[in-house]
Amino acid sequence: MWEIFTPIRIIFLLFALFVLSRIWVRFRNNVIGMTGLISWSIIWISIIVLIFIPGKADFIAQKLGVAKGTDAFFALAIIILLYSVYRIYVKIDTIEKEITKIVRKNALKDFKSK
Amino acid sequence: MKLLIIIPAYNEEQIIGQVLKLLPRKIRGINKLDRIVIDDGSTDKTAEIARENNTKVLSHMINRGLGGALGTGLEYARINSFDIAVTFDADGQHNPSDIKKVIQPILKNKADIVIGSRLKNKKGMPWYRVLGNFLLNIITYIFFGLWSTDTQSGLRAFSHKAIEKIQIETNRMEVSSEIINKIKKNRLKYAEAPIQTIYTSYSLKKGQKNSNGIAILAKLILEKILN
Repeated sequence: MWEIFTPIRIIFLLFALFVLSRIWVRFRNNVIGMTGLISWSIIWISIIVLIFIPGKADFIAQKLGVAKGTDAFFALAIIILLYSVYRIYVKIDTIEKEITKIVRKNALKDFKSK
Repeated sequence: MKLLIIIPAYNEEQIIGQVLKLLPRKIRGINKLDRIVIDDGSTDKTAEIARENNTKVLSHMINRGLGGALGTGLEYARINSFDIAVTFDADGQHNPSDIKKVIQPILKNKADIVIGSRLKNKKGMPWYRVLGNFLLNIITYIFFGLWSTDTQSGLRAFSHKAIEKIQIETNRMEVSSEIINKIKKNRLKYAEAPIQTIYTSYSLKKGQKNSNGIAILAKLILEKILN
């Protein structure tokens, strides 16, 4: 029975537990609200469950037409990462523009009526 | 006709006094000539020196970049109902007598935006700059449908209509592409005038417009994709 605790799974498990503890701490410190707590906890608990189900990734992989479970995982992870990076870029761009609006308004305030 | 000279400046204390002293006080066809320095978050005495030279200063609390500074200058021109706005570099790269050259097409009602082109008169420009500019101009034409011999030039004139219609949104060097894009989008009339560039070791250091060629290219692409 203890064979399911392969080293890589133990590492992932410990990491997931660490993240869950951080989520809890953030909730306690009012950084994230109830919705945050519940949604992120569900995500990471699901990850823990998935870590331990044997061969589930291969099943999904077969369905998707990909060679191995790990390949499917990496492909999906990369797509999600690329999309996240794009969203971050757009967000930063927006923030830069907003900063300029503030700085401009401040610069012009003494010159509103010439 | 009311004309505003907009001088965006970032840490130019060494030369801005000189630049301001050499700006024209009178131009034919203009009855009110004003100037303003946009101090883009300078950490040196740029703003002080500008004021000592009888020039109004608009100060950005933090550095925003050329686009940010131009946007503020044009907003000032808009608020104060100027008929023509001319942007002029603070680093001594431009010849003050070129100001009257770039406003001619506007005074004659032949253009809304005039860009002073350094490439019409290639004397003195380092070869790598000529090549870099040319490649960028080709890409600009492909992306925005406007052929310009010098999209990166800092000496630009805006008519009243252009001042009204062009709200600068980008912050840094990509403002050059944004202006080209907005000329087409707002169906503004475009013209160029040959201008001289004064290449001193100071202005070459400051105007890294070509060493950032890759960055400018990336931003051209981005402007095209996002707008």
